[in-house]
Amino acid sequence: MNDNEMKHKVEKMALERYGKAFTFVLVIAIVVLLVIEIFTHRHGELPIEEMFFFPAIYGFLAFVFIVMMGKLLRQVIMRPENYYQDEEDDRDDA
Amino acid sequence: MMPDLGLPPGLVMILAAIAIPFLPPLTRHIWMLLAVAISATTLLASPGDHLIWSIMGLELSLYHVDNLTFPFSMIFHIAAFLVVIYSWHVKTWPELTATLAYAGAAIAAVHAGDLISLFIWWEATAITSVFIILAAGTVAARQAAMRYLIIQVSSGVLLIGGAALYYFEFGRITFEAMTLEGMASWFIFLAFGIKAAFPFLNGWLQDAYPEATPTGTVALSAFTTKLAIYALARGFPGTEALIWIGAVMTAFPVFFAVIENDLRRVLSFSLNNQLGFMVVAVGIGTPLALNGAVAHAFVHIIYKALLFMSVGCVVHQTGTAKASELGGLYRKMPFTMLCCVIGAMSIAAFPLFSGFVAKSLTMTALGGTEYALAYLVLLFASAGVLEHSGIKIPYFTFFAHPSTREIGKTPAGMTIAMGIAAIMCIGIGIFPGLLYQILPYAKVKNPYDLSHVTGQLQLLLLAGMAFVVLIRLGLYPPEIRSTVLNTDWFYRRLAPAIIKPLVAFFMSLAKSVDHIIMMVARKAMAGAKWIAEHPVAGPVIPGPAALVQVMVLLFIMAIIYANFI
Repeated sequence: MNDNEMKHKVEKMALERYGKAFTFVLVIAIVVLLVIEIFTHRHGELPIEEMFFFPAIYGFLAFVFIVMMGKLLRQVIMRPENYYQDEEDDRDDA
Repeated sequence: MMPDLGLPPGLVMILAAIAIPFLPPLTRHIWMLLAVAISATTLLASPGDHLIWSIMGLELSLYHVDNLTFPFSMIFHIAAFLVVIYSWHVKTWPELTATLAYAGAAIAAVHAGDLISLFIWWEATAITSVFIILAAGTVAARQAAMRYLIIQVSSGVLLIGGAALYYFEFGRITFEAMTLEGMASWFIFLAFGIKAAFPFLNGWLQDAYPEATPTGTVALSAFTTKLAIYALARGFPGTEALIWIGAVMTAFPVFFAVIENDLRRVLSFSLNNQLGFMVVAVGIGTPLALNGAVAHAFVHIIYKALLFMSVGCVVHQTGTAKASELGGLYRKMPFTMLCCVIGAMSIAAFPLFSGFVAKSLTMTALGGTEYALAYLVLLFASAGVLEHSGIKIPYFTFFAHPSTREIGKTPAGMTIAMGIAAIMCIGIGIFPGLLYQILPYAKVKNPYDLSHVTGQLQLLLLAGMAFVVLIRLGLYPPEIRSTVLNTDWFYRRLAPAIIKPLVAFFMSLAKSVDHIIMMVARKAMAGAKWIAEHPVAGPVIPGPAALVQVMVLLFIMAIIYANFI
């Protein structure tokens, strides 16, 4: 294993460690929010918003929906990187 | 009070911009800062019309000041200041000249009290900003700049057309609140809509902004679109259509942003989505909502500039903004990463960051109306903001993959400008009163109550959790080098696909008609020549004589015929 590969591996491990730490903090924060939700009344702008843990559930589902729709959208509107390239070739100065 | 210079606000910056090419490169930025500072004395002016020019029987109000112009004028000056600092390392004059003139034109436009002067500055922002895009010097930038120019000028044409009709209809040109009745207001509405990047009128934004230089994009992101928001807030507050237009604007770009590979283009989609929130707020039109629109525009300029600055910094250092080629820079560019995260948390509206204190005004105002569906769309879009700007930008730039890339030193100007913008994002988040006291309508109460804070945190943290889950399950779409089609496809691909064959058909039709006419003409000439050269009445009478005989005969016959009638 050469030096570069070694560096790469170390970096990767560091990133994974940070990722795990981030997830851990996130889970703790969510648990805290859940506890607050149980013990306090949260006022919402709409009646539906006052449902138990509504913003959380809505946020989670919205995020998943956006990403999944994005994946679907790729099938329809994704083109090669040089898709508009011939536009440039049309010109004399290209 | 403001010393009356007899000049419209912002004009001093445009005049100063003209001098930039003749200054030694090292003094250019100091000169620019000076121009911004002098122009900023406008902020001390009392409400009213300070400068009226009478031209051709029209009274042009070039220096109008009121509660609505003030916050926009202020944030435009702040943005101009940040852009100058950020571009301190840029020594070439074309971009600097265009940038200062562009900012000046936008400030002048905010202070235009009538539709004609608004049009003049409206066009000035279009023309000056084109040179910012051109300054990138690439073929792609040149072509994007031309497309951008055509669309921006179309907006101006609609505006002047609308202004003329408005004058005929009402006999005045004052820029005031209008209703969507009659052609005049529709023209003006569309003119504003183009610059505000309404759905289907948005292609220019994502097309052109990412083609500029890293510094140019920061300048572009601040002015044009927020000028349009200002114009909508003054011209069309409470126009119901805006609620739905804005709601669509908040929701649609988020899907494009998920799959876009160019991170500056992702930020342009994100810009579009943010404009949606402001447009909805203008559409509601209550004092609280309009305050929300203004507050959102104010903080948005700062955090969006900060995001563009941090990604611009990465482009400056690595030469690319492609998510597929970046990642892992957190160790090499820690300060830029920190600023990017602050920008990301601000735009995602985390409590204690500037986005939160602005967005909650709009959400509260919308929640109090009957537009529950629009409210849910905006809530949905808030999760979208977290996705593309809150997570995607910092994650794919600074984390995601290990990087062995060597990075140079970031120019000091870039670092300082990012630092200032980051401090402002947090400052406004912690002390919302700073922002609230300059809002145009009514008093606003503190947004920090338990319900708001926990509700927002629930939305953001669970959406963040969704990201973690999707990444860990390998369901998050990978970064792919690609072009994502946007509404500019209609004029870059569809229109040429239809028009090119049509033009070719008519060209070939014209060619064949031309051919037939030429053939007939040639035949006729050949016939005449043949007659002229061939005697009809024997060898002694030459052709021309025969023709004369025919003519004489015809003449005689005509006379006889006339006699008989």
